Amino acid sequence: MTEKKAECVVELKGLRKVYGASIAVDNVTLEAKRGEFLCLLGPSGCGKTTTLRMVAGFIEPTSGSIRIEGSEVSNLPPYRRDTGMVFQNYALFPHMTIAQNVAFGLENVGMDRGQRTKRVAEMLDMVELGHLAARYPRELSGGQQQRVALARALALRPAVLLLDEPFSNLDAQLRVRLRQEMRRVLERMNITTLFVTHDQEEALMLSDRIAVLNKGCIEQVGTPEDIYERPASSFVAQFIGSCNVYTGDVRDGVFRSAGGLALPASGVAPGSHTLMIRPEHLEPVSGEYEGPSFPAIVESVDYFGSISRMTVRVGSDAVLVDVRSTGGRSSRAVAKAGEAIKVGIRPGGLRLL
Amino acid sequence: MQISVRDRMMGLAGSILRPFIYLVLTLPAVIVVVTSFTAGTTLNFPPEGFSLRWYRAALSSDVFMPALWMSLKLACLTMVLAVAIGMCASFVLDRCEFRGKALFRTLTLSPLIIPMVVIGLGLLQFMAWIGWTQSLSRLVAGHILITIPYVVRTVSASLVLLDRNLEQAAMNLRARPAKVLLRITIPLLAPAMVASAVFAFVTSFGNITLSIFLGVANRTTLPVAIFTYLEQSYDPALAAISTIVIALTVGILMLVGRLVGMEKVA
Repeated sequence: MTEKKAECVVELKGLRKVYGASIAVDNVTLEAKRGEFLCLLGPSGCGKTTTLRMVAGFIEPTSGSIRIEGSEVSNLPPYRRDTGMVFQNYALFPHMTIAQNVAFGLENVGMDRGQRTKRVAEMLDMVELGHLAARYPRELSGGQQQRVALARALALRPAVLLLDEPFSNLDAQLRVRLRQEMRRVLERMNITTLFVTHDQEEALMLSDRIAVLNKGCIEQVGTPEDIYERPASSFVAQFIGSCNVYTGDVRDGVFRSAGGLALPASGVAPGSHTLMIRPEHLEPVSGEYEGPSFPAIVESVDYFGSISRMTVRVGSDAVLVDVRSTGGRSSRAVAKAGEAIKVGIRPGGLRLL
Repeated sequence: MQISVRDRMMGLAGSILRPFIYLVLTLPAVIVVVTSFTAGTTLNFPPEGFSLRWYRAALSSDVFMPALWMSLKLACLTMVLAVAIGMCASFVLDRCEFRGKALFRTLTLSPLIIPMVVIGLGLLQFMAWIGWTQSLSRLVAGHILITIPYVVRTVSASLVLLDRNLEQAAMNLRARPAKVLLRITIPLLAPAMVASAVFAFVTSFGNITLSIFLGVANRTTLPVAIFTYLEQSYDPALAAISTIVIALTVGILMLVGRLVGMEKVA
């Protein structure tokens, strides 16, 4: 084994896909390192699935290069690329048993029967479905089908695993459980993974790094913490979690939005800026509070159990503020609609671009 | 209350109507089958007595037996070729984009709409013009033409429902296109292929209009032979050979039903 730990397994350079007049993927450049779980995150139609399908070879790029394990594959057909894919609908072969599904790829590369049987058993044990080997896909639940699809994709030990929204067809509780299980399996195999999703929670929980896509372009690439805490654009800030975003001017150390919000912004160059602040960095405070704060009128309060989210108004700007439930006091009881309150800013919460 | 009364009326009407429909559908066949066992010499219903003499006559007939073999050969060839050609046409219609695709689709289905007499006359003139005189090949060509629409319609409907992800998944698992076709696409289309093969066989086997035009004198098909025979004589051998045809057709349908039933996929 080579010691090159940080070696790139997948390299996309200037990848573009144009359909007639519309650009599906525009100049995407990305690298996935060995063993890395890299997520392509974005709203539907942002080009993430197109990108994944170009890596698998189902869609021919208009221009740009795709390298897997250092060699150019953009001109190779899918069956000559070292990838394993899990489809959104799993695409299990309905006329084959679970074992035959998993063995299909092994047959195609000419693995002999003895080894094949062993590998199939090993893969099915890994996803804890060994007892269902002789069943047909339609006899399995959605969650089980997803695990078979994963076992089938991994059976060939591909250089890169491609996951196309593998959790989107499952109900919410199962989704969380299978997410954890998939992470366990993939960590054990230490396989490089490209993962496409529109679900930010999934992306934050599973990924080593996330690439946020919007309208075919990469908005930001970074660790989940980078993406969440230090969004590079207002699109990223608003797509991941909830975020208050305002445009305005900074003068004399104060940011003033067009709507009337004024917040301290010391040490920032004067001029026009975008200000972002997440609702959890704001809190209602008492009149004696001395930190940075602003007065506002409560417009509505939405109760979510562990928190309540208030919409407050400053001038014509709406601001989201989270209130946490504390021992014995429900978050809902803090303020009522129409009340005037003071909103405090937690240190480090403001972000100006 | 009113709804339940109406429901009961409908139910009653249905149970009266249903046996009637079954009767109308099966009566012709039943009459032929029953008549075939007559001991008399005329084709009359009800038959006089019981005997197998007309089966002996039919099976040793030098009119019916060659024609039966001709029809079977013709139906088998038509079935195989029509399914092969129709499959190709369906794939092209489902997966390729080209100029005149709509026209091509209409053309493949047009033999259903054009009266068969017109097709027969046209083919006859065309074949005479190019000097095509071999009876079996003329019939095969004509029958393929009229059975292709059934194949294209049945297979196209199945192709639309076929999940393309399955083929892509197979390719992702290192299967070359030929392997994808043999292991994934064709097995999943098998029910449609069998169904259209049966259609093609039965349509060809029972066709008379086109065969009258295209068959050459004494090398003709069974339906034509029966039709011609009827013009000269009216004996129960006709009923006997017809019963044999009915038995053959029902036998094939039952066999196929079991086969398709067994490999029924999701």
